[in-house]
Amino acid sequence: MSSIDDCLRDILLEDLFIERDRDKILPTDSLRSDFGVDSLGFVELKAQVEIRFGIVISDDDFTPENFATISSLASLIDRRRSAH
Amino acid sequence: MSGAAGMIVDSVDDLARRISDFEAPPPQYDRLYEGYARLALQPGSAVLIFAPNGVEFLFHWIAALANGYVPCAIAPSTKTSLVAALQESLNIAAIVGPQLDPARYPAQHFAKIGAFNAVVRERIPPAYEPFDVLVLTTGTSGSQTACVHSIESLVWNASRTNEALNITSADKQLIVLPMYHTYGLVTQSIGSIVSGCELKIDGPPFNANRFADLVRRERISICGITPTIARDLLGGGTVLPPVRSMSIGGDRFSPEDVTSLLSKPFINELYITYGLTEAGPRVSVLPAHEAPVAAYDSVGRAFNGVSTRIEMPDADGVGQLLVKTPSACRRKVGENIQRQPFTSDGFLETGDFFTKDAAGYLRYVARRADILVIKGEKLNTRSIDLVAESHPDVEFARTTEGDANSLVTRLWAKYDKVLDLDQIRSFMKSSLRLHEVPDHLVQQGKDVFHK
Repeated sequence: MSSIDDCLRDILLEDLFIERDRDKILPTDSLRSDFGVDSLGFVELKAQVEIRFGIVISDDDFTPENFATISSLASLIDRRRSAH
Repeated sequence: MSGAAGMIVDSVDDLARRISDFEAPPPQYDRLYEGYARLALQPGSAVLIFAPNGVEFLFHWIAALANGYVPCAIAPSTKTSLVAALQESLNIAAIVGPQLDPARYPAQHFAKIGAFNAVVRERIPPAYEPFDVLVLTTGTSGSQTACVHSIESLVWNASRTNEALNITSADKQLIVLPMYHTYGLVTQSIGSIVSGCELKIDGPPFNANRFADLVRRERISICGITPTIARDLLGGGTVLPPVRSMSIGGDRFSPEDVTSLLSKPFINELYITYGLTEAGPRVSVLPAHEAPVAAYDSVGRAFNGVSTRIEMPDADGVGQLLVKTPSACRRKVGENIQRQPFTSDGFLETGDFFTKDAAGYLRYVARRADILVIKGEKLNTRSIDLVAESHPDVEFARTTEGDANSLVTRLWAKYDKVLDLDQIRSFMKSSLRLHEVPDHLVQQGKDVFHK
């Protein structure tokens, strides 16, 4: 899971331009409250995750719960990759 | 304290009982109020609040107002560079937010208000009156401008919307739109305070099935959505439980869309509304469920107490819509505000082109040339051009709408250089909000004329 976490940190820094030092992006931080990801940010995050991990995130999985933290999103990615 | 401000502050205890979100319980309002008092800002000092949708945000906004400060809500994704620019252009005295990193704001004072961090500038004289409210006009007037409203006028506008949409204390309203925009903040949040209805706040990401589930589970009777979300619901065939009232901000909502929504058994009352931040915000409403079909292409008629006229209509009756409303902003402030958008007889210049028929129905025709709606979000192309032109290799930029509602910025280089478009895109992305980042950057040769 740590490689997934690292890739998600890359996305947050390189594609969403989160203003946080890499080593201060924690798996349990809230994407909304701690990083300020808003509605369009979540759409961008979903698109980048689909590209980088080669998965499709359905509308049913595009929820605040699955996109709450790096940890919850990594779990979703792991489940989707296992299902392939 | 003004009557409207007093009403809002006095309602907090009651509001706490009828408002909820999906986060941990918010801090007690009294603690937030005391936290703002400890900042010891002068009355009329502006406080920038950037926080995600939630009860906590709304309580911070009210606590700042109650202290005689001037709250200004901003998107939580706003970059530090823009916040720093806003500090200057809007005379912001303090910035508050959950993810605020004090290290990025050197040589300022820091404090904690509830779970939020606060950064206080060196003391600056207040630029506003107590119980004013600043509302950013990021979409329409550029990235560093705002409207100065009084809380009285915002409450007036929210009350008129409640009347028009028949919202009462028996209702339960769902907020899914950003609360830093006027619809979520004024129409829905302040409107719920005024009406006494229950309020459920949800945050992104938006998901049609979750929306339907929320409406069902929470027994929502009132919801407001954008035309983009409405089309998603229609396109995806989402089935909602019956809602008493659905409202849509609608200058881009077609008669076919109206007809489709009205055909859904779960829609009882459908309201198409038009507004703009400068007007406080709502101007007109079309109660589509009881309107003649011929009016489906309109945004309805002006609210009671609001006057409209078309400025210098052409042969087809098209001209700029002028609005006279008690909820108009007192003035606009910020960078590059060269004149206030009012006529000599007190009408607000909307910048939007409409027709108005004999029955008073307003029909949207076009926006001012530098305003685009991309992926459902309003943006000002001039702001994007200015960011591009701040890159050291770019002489001139021009942003327009491309194919399939994409955003295209054409760039002219200094010194005939070959531009590194990926690097310029990253440069722009570090300053712009995501919906403002062009889908395509295209370098133009010197032989392509620009003005």
